[in-house]
Amino acid sequence: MPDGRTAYRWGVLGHSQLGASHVRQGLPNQDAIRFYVLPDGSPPVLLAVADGHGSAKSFRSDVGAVMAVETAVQVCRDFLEGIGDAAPSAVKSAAEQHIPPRIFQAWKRRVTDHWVRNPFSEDELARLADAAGPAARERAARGEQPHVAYGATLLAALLTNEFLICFQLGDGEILAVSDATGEVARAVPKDESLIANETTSLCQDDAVRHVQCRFQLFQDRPPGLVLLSTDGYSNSFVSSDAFLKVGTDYLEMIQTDGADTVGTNLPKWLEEASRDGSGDDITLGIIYRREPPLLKPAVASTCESSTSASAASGDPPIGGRPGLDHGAAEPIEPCATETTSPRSPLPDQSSPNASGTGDPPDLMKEAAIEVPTRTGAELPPESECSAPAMQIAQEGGDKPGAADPATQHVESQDNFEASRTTLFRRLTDGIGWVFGRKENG
Amino acid sequence: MPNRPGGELAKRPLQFIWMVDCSGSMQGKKIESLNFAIHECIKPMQDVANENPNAQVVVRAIKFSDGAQWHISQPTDIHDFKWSDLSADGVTDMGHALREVAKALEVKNMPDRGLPPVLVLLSDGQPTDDFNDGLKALMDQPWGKKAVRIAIAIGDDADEEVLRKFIGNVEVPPLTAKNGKDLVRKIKWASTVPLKAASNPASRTKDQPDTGHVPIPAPPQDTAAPSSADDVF
Repeated sequence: MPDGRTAYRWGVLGHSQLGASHVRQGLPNQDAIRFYVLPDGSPPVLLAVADGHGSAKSFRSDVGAVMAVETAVQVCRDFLEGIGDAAPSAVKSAAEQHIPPRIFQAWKRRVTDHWVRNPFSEDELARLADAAGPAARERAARGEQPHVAYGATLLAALLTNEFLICFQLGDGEILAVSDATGEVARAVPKDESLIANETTSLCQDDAVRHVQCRFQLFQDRPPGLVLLSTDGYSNSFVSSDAFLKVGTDYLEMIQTDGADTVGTNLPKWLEEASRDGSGDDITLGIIYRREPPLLKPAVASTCESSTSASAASGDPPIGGRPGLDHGAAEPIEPCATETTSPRSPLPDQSSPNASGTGDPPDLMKEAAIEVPTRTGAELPPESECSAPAMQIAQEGGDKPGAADPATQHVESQDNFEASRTTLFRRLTDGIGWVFGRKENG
Repeated sequence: MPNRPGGELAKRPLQFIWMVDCSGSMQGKKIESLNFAIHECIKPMQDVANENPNAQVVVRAIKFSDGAQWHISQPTDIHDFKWSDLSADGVTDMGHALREVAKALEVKNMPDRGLPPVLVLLSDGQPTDDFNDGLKALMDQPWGKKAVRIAIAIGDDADEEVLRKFIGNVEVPPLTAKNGKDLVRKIKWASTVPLKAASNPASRTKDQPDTGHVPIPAPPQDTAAPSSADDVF
């Protein structure tokens, strides 16, 4: 069990690729990505991706997706600042209870504020009528549920020295890859009911009932990679196994070719996937471990042969499940306290921000989340929070070269349509990756 | 340069199913116009597929009169699709056809990355078997429920209420065709516009009354003038 003093370091890669079908239709990229990581790679690390629906009725979903990832990262940062030295079980409970509803309420407030400052234009309403009929146009013109026009999915990961928390609302994939075993696991189970382009969404009033949360306490070492992707990526592969192979391949490439090389090629790979696959926008974010360096993925037999050596040294036995195929996907088990019941409503967060500045609401002024502080070496019982699928071997035997500690960020090469706003991203050395935004005149 | 990560890439499959009333009342002008129309719309459907190259459109057809049988049972790529003419005789076992389509759309038979199926139902009369049971069977299948369902009422005796129930979307009423020329026009619309809409990778919010359906532009409701006096159904 990491003692909180282990010096993990992380890097993040990310790219959001305009889909081939959107290129043909002259539409903008309706996905978005944002992450937060310090220049030295020390935790926490935050990563969020979102997929704007792009349907006729969600005609501002590109804006909705950007607001979703910005809000998610901000809420998660605020949460981490508030938890202090809380026990993992308390952190888990507080995260599940507070993070999703805060994200959803803040997002709804932001998009509603955007609509107030930028009412639907006649062009937008006319296109809506053409695509979805006059009744849909009339509803939008009357201002009924304007946030539907901004509808998007949201996936988020929050990584510290001790745990990984994942949230998922809607389609897309969150994968965790063990660098010891090469095992690729879905950090959040696939929702089998989301088929035929139907998805749960931020624009649903009962979104908190549909969000999935997963908490994973690291037994020994955190995963080698955590990948978040929008559904345009998984939908581009002929099968689930063909998609899950990306976990194994990215791990190997980062370990052998370095993060820089992977980051440089990411736009090309995602463009190819969209062109020859789903045609949809594709967004991929990868959190990869820099320190301790990634191990070479080991097959099950290699792990078993190392067991006696590590056991003799007093280290915990190497995990991995008997009979697990290399690269096969196994879901990370949910905590016993996993709930999907409706959450308690948050205090009313008043009217939308009408300052006209476009700044996000000041989430720091929300009521602080009170989390019990840790006492002694308090750890949750295994049955509550551990995830046996992610037991990681101790270092030993072959020790591959360290992951490239150089450039950890990749500047996205999005292709945006010049519209109401122009989005641009800049990589800074100070606080990681920041969205910049300017309004067209 | 390292290879692209992951396995084989593939387009997303889209199932299109013709559901055709071949009862005795369809004999003559109606079935002739229908056969002609489906022949005529193969090329426009191929054009729609070419405009949306990330969707792999595969087509099947089922006929119903006394019972229901698959006319083209194998999902056939639209670029390889050929129509063999149907004949008409018997009653109108629409419920049976719905149950057969429901079986075809069972989850175990469908790729989970598929696009919404498109079902086009053509009928000139009233079902002679248990329509409600058949519709329930279809709607009990997730892929049946999420399918784009279009219906064309042929002539004056079609049961439009049944067709409305089949469509299940108040924003998309049944089309009506009163003559051969009109039927050709309506079939051409039904075979291309919903197909284009379903080919779009855009997402829809699940289980929402006004966002759950694939948005379809309003279908034409006017009636094309018959080409001759004999053309009227």
